[in-house]
Amino acid sequence: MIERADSNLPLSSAALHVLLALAGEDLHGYGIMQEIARQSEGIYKLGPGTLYDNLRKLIQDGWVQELGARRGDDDPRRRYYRLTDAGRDILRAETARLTQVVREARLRLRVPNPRRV
Amino acid sequence: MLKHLYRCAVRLHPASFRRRFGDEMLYVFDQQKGTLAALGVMLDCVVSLFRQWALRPRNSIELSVAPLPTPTAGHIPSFETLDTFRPRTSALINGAILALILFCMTVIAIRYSWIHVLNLHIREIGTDWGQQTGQQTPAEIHPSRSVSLQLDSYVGEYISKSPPGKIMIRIEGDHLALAFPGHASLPLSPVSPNRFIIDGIASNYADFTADRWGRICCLSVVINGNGIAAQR
Repeated sequence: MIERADSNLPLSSAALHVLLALAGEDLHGYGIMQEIARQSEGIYKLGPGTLYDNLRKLIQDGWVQELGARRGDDDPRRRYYRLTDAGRDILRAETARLTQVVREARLRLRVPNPRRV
Repeated sequence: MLKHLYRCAVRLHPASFRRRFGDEMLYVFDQQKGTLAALGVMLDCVVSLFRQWALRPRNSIELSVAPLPTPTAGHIPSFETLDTFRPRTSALINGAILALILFCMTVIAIRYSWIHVLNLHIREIGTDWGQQTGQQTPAEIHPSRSVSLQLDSYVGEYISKSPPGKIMIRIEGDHLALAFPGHASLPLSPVSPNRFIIDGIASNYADFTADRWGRICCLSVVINGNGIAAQR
């Protein structure tokens, strides 16, 4: 599954953050925005236009499932979204790729040992 | 005010996007606290508007699933859709406007082109030409309606300043005629698109001049050596 997911990598920042936000629980659009802001400590903020453009693509790709509105919710306009198994696999693959990138970066940026005289 | 603008911006999104996410986008806007946050969402909406129309043209179409071919007798499908692509509504409107503009330009070009002026079948309008050659007369070759329409371009009232007066050009039967007020009309026989002989006398003639749009605007009459210039 990972091998098949590799063809879709790397993910865009927005797609990665949306998948990551949905990895914990089902969320509605505004909840996803808040979760992304929380995970990035306020550094990365997604607007609704960007969010729903990415959500549509993720839904089309089958990585996110739209659940619709929940009964008894505060606002009937809110629709909830869920990460699918395929989306989870993609997220795993992207995380593995990023881990490799971080490992490589650490190796390259390591300060060389001072030369012993 | 800002919410009203935001609502308008959301409504300007492609229909499929608006139907699916429009309410949620309005909900997100309602959750913003403070003008600055609302402005940020508004800006994002404007960018989204551009993105949806310019960068996601195919997304504005809700592609319908192609119907399966219906088997009929002999297992020959009666209908089959090969492609589900449909052009956007905006593209159809743009195409219609462009086609209309091209049509108008073509009509104007035909109306005012110099080819139109030279396309007068002058020799065929003559009364005795067909009889002399033993061939068909112009009326037999071309419908009379077509001929009269071409002659119409010469017809009118021409004003002369020196000497002051009027010269009338009109159609009489199947030919043009020149008339001064209070005098009998004189028949005109064409020798070229611009020159007509008056009353069958070669030394008496009328020259017509067309403007740059091909419309007859000036008339120069020479009768018995005396010239008169007139304008329409």
